[in-house]
Amino acid sequence: MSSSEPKLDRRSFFRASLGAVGGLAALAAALEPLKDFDRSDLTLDQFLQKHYKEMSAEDMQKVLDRIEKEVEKRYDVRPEIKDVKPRDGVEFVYALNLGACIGCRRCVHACVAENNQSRDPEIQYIRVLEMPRGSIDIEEGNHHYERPKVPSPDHFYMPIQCQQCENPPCVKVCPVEATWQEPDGLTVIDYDWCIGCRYCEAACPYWARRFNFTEPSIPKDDLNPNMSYLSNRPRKQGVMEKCHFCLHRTREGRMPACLEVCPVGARKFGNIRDPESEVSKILKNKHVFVLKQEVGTHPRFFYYFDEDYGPAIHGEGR
Amino acid sequence: MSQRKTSRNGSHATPGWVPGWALGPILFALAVWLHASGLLTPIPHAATPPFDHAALSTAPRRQILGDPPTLKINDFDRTCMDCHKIFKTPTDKPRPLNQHKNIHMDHGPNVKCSTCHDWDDRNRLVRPDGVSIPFTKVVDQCGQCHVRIRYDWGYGIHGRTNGYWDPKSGPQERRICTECHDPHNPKSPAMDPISPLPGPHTLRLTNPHGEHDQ
Ligand code: HEC
Ligand code: HEC
Ligand code: HEC
Ligand code: HEC
Repeated sequence: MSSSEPKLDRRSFFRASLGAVGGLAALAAALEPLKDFDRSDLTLDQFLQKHYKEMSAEDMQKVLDRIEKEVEKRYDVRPEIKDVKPRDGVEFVYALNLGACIGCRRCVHACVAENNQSRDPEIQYIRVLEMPRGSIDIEEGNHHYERPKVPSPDHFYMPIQCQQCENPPCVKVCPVEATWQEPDGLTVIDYDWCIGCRYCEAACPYWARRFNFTEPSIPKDDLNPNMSYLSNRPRKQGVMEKCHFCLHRTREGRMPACLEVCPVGARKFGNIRDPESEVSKILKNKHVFVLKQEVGTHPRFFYYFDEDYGPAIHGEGR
Repeated sequence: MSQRKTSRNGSHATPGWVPGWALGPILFALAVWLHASGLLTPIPHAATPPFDHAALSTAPRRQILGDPPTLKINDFDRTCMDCHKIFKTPTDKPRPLNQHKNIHMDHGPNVKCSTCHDWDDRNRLVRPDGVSIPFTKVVDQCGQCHVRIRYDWGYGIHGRTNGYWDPKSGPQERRICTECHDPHNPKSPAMDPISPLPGPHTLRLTNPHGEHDQ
């Protein structure tokens, strides 16, 4: 061995490994946050599960049993998970009276409680924009308003959630068909099928989709045990979620949670194919508009300002 | 420090392969870069700030009177007529009252109690067209003046329907006027300002300005 040959004597070996170990340690420290992305809880059953639309009733029952067990193990609550199907002759539509909304955010939190969103980190489907009066430019809106009391006299409030578009861009961009539109107009997500690529989030012009960056956490006592497969069953890290008009309630004929809590009655929901429904009457009698009409998504979520009603009789006693 | 020293011993280079001494610095540099780039910064956790969950009640905002209407007077339930059988009131001129001091009339031109209360049977209201109705039918009373709102209310456009959107699947509860408005003092805006619940602390929520929340 000549001295010009690369040689590794004991000392330089020691030095090099010391450096390498130091470097590795630093790298490990830098990569530390990656441990949040652990997805080792994927089970074989889940891995072999078929696409929602290809599952038979028995397949689905097995899946629901599995999820019920998983939820019970995690939250000590045995939930009732259903797979509620759309109804014939029903197409859901939402209407919101901006003249009445006072921006109190009751809807936001009723939604979180109903739909088992993560509380830490917090996920909210509805965001309420506070906008200067006279403007209808949502780019001017602010959803971070903090005031001792609402409404502020100089502002009006515009809650925004999934618009359940007839022509949903989020569905088109999904590479794995984990999100699709159902016959009753609801765009749903199969949380077991979602790969978390977040294309849909980027495609949505209404910022309606939410991503589980970390493992969601819900205090056990706060879990809503009335669940369905496509709506409010607990989600995992790395999947997308969004408003689904409370489909586990609405497909059974009930009102969505955000509507029931609205103190001013600004929220209206129903079946647009029934001409007698509240929403049909609103679409017929009020000047409704949709958000970002120009992008061609055809939302099923309508906004309107109720005109000023004057009393017909100006009574002065009898 | 050890890296700096090893780097002076530059003679160990293996052609075509990373020299042993360089491994440390390279890994170290990678770590520094990953750290500085922010690519791998831990995801910030933001929890829901605590708030009073009573705010999420779906109950009506006002307690209304039934038929017959009763008031709690000194812990006893009394119907209006329990007292008004005894008291005959001489005049309907607006005046400060000795009883019912909680009533503050501010309903536009409706200053007289007799516009709405049946003068002879205080357990009942009276519609603008003079017909006496029980308290539970108050919608008909308001509706004869607020005609368009009454239509809208009938369709479910004004006010709120709780329960089922599909009446065939279950009961609907349509809130009546006085469950939201104080008939004596219907304010505009209709609702007193209330405290908003916490706003979004949602992770990396793209906001309308295309920025990211933390
Ligand atoms: C504790 C007995 C009592 C009860 C119960 C009671 N009132 Fe009276 N109310 C009075 C008295 C006394 C006055 C007269 C006060 C005055 O003249 O200063 C009065 C006055 C009124 C007036 C004002 C016009 C007038 O007659 O002077 C109205 C309207 C009225 N009451 C409605 C009602 C209604 C409606 C109820 C039931 C929901 C009711 N009252 C229950 C004692 C009662
Ligand atoms: C615009 C119609 C209207 C006028 C005018 C009116 N009331 Fe009433 N009042 C009502 C209605 C409706 C109720 C039932 C409220 C409920 O169910 O909560 C009521 C309830 C009451 C009650 C029982 C509930 C309570 O809050 O104590 C009293 C007392 C009363 N009115 C007194 C009066 C008096 C006194 C006047 C005149 C100064 C008056 N009202 C004028 C519509 C009216
Ligand atoms: C005799 C006719 C009459 C009856 C009955 C009547 N109102 Fe009114 N109401 C009026 C008039 C007139 C105004 C307009 C006040 C104004 O413009 O200042 C008014 C205003 C209002 C307002 C709006 C207040 C504002 O300043 O914008 C509300 C809310 C309201 N009434 C609710 C009711 C309710 C609820 C009832 C039934 C308990 C009722 N009214 C019964 C005549 C009536
Ligand atoms: C769920 C609560 C609720 C119920 C029930 C309700 N209102 Fe209202 N009402 C409101 C709110 C909130 C506003 C203000 C925003 C708006 O114009 O819609 C309002 C506004 C009004 C106004 C003023 C409209 C204006 O243009 O200033 C009148 C008048 C009125 N309501 C009458 C009634 C009558 C009459 C009934 C019963 C048939 C009724 N309300 C039932 C919540 C309610």
